[in-house]
Amino acid sequence: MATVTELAGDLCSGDQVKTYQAQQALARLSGEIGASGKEAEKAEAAKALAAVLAGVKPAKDNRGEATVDSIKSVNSANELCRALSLLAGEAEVAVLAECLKNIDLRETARWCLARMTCQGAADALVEAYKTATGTEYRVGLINALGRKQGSNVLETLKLAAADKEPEVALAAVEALANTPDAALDAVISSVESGSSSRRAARVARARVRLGSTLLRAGDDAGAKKVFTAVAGADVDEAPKKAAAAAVGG
Amino acid sequence: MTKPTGPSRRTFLKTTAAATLAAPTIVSPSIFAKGDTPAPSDRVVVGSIGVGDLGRRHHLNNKLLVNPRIQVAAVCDVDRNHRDLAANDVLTKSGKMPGVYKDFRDLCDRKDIDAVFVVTPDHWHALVSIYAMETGKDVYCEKPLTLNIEEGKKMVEVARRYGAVFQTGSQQRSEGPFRQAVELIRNGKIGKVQRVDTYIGNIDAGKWQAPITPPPELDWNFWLGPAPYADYFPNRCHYQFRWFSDYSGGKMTDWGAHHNDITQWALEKDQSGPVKVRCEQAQFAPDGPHDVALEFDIAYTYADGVELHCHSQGKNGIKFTGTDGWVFVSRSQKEFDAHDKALLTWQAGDNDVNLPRTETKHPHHDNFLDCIASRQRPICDVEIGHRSATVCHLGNIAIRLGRELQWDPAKEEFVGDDQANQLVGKPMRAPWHL
Repeated sequence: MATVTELAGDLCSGDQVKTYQAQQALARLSGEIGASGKEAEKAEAAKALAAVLAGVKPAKDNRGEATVDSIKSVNSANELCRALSLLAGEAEVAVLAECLKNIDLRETARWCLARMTCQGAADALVEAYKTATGTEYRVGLINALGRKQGSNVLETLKLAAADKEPEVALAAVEALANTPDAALDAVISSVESGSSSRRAARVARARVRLGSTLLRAGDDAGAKKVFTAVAGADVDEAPKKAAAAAVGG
Repeated sequence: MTKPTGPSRRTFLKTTAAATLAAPTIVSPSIFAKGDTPAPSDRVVVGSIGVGDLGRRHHLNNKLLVNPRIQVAAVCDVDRNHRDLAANDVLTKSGKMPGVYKDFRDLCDRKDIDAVFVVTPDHWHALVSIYAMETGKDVYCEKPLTLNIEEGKKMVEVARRYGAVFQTGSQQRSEGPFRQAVELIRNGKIGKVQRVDTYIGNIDAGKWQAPITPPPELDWNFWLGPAPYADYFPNRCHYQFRWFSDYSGGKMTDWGAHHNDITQWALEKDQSGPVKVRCEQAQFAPDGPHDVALEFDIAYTYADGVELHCHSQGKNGIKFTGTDGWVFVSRSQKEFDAHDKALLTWQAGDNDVNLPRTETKHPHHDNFLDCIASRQRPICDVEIGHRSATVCHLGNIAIRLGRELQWDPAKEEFVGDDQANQLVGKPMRAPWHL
């Protein structure tokens, strides 16, 4: 039976069949050792995968010459991160955080951290956001943080809601709308939508979502306040109607 | 939709429906069943999102463009050839050029469109449907409704928040043999149901192809959307996507969304689900590329002790076994069978449980149109589609983890299994998110 390190090597082989077989073997292993009571085996497997991930060579700075290597690195990291996502814990966060600094590996490391449930994963995403560049990647970080909890997460999302890149700000308010805090309506509604009606509609929808989050959390008064404000605002018809119906109901 | 100038049939339907909101959803026959051609103001203006094989052939040409209650105003696909061919179909059959879109958001942002048909690959269902509902559209979305359980929960939330009429494309609920079988069961004709066996088919291993540059007509990055990036090869994309777990759930969700859906209906579990699931056996392709189970037997237990066994092998259909008899039902009326045989001709009377029916040529679509007018929930409402898809996803998670899992259908989470709960949802590739 192949070791985790050997399977990880096959994942990075670039051979379709070998990669597939390693994926399947790791998926089986992940299920076998993912049950309660097998934490030590799970930690050992995660450690082995992370060690291979740490060894994936980043592409050279000269992008033109490095294209082939770069593609191979990305595919290898993709496979490793996906296998890791159901096994990794705090001990693997450092390796993944390092991957967030590599332009070829950062998206797949972000994806992996988004799926992980430990606090360190959230902290790594918060830290990465501080210096991240590129609209799509920054939106991805915010989306990942939208699946996390913690005061540092909330503060980062609030900060991002004021970001000068509209897509980042909109992603942030959509994430904030899942937090049951009526005061966030002011943060959400302050997002500049400029002349874009689609952006304005996204803000209105985020506010309606916040109202629903508050309702589910039992904050009826907070929800009513948000819904009433949206129903009376000059916003897109669909969220306006939804808010009005919520108030009426 | 264009504004009616006087009381229209749709207005009438809305009014009468409001007055009878508590009445059962028996629409028999559809108010438009006599071949009437509604006034343009009464037509539902639709956009068709995803017009590949199923979207164009099954829905657009065989259902939408032949229905006088529908005006197709727009088509959308990330494959230019798909959308241009579909636009040509609309132009040829209706005489009107539809709007043609690559990005579903551009179609949904149109204020003149009432409803959308979502016939994309499964990994897009939730994102497109949610955006459509949030822009005020009613939605007909193909089955399986979702790629994972988290998506379904969000879809239900949004549908309720926006008051959207949402039909899941599990059309067996609108087909005679299945309704007949479920009416037999609901009326106790086979006694207390003890066991259900669904036979949903298997798949082959598929064939690897060398990755190639995507064809120019296909926006591959958009096709992948929320799924992890993968190199393009044709067998990964149109139609074959069903057998790759990044885009679909294999036969388990493809046909499970039909037969497990009927099971949920018969057992009156449309707002619930099983409490236990285990994989009894599963086979995967030894060398790929299809990474979903090729063969499987899954065992579920409901809180009341009823067992559901979902099999890849066996004659396609569903067998319900009760304390006093059994019923076998499939899409072929000829295969309808029961013990005892008298059940084969039994019809529900006025005092029996009668299930909703729409007696038209395209009942599932017409039920959706009726509900758009009445604002009632269709026969396969979003939560029903979500719960039925959940049964299938639970099966796939049990296959993946290889251990018995406890499921709490009220909280919609696994009991005491963190790893299983990680599989309830799945992060999306940036910039997409629920």
